[in-house]
Amino acid sequence: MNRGEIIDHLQVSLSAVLNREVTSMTPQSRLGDDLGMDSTSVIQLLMSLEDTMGLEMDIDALRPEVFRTIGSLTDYIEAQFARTVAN
Amino acid sequence: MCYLERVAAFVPESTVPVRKLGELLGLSRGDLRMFTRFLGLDQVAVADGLELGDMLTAAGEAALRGTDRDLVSHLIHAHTMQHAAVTRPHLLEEVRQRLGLRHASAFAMSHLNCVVGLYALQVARALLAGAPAGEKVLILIGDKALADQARLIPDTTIQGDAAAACLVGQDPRGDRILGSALRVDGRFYQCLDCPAELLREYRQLYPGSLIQAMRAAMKNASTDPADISMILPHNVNTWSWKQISMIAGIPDGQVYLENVPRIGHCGGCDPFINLATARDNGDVASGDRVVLAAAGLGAAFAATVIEMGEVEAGVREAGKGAVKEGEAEMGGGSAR
Repeated sequence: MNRGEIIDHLQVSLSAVLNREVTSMTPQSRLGDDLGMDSTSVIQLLMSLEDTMGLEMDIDALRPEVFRTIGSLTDYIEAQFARTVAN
Repeated sequence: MCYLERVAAFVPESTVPVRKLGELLGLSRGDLRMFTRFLGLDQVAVADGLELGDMLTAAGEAALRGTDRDLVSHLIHAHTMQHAAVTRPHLLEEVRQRLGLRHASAFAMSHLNCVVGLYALQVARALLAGAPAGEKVLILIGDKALADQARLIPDTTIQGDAAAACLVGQDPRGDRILGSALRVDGRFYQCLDCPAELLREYRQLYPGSLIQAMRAAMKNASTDPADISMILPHNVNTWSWKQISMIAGIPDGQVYLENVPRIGHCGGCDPFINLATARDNGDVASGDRVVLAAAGLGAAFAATVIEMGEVEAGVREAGKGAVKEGEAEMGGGSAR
């Protein structure tokens, strides 16, 4: 899955978790301040991404910087996807 | 100067897997996945066959071992849930008599939810201010869920049953109370019944508010964060504490989360149970400075900084004796 497809998945999952259409997100969009996500909605987002992308996240590897922006989260998912494929 | 002369905990030996409780609570597979995989819960302590009074008494006995009980001037029951035990209207008076506290005035307190144990500590300090030498206050913290539905805080935690006891006095061999802080934000008084937008705001400010409370307690204790050996938290879940650690720059392993998967979130008891467990396991030692921390719906955030005292005056001695008593008197459960 390429980066563009990951971002598409993210947009769909974000819209579902936040219960509103997320249209104007950029790599710089901040999950908390810009998108209004909290700790619970972050978990819901990760679960949604696992379900729709066939991923299994490495929970222990999650660092704070992962959740700062859409760009950092995309980086993390890309790495997780590569890890899953490799395994 | 006040000290935790003894701290003891009584945790029922019987636990129920979250997956099984999930059936009783009507949780979906997604809910269970969230609780077990992301929030770090696994087993929940359930006091089958035990009454709350039994658990409070067992913890109290462990904390009072070897103490002249006539020196105890006050007995406090701090309970997380507002309705402590409808089946026992004279619960605290019965416990007072069973513990042989002839001269203790007894009262209960709640309304700060999971922060109530740490708040009771502040009340005990106030009661002992200017008190005659040797006078002590016994705090009993504990709840037993009246119904399984009361165990659930959606998307957050599942609550277990337990009790803890804390004998507060002036014996310098105990754990010295260095400072504390309590912050209450009454905008969230409706707890889980807050409007959705307010609930979301609560979740967003939760980590920062708890960090602020811990920092305020450290400041009140004239203690630098670098001098803190361990944070003994409430067991709400591992996820939120990881988030707090990340934001506050708390080193890996400094928040004591060992009991989260073992017993669940036991309300206001958690920091005291964790203190007992950490001491028993040698994870904290005499001279260490630790932070007891908790957050409660409503919303309240509290922290207390203590300096660990001598083992002889603390948890280990009390806990060992209480294991026998817990088993002999009630056929299940262990005090730590």
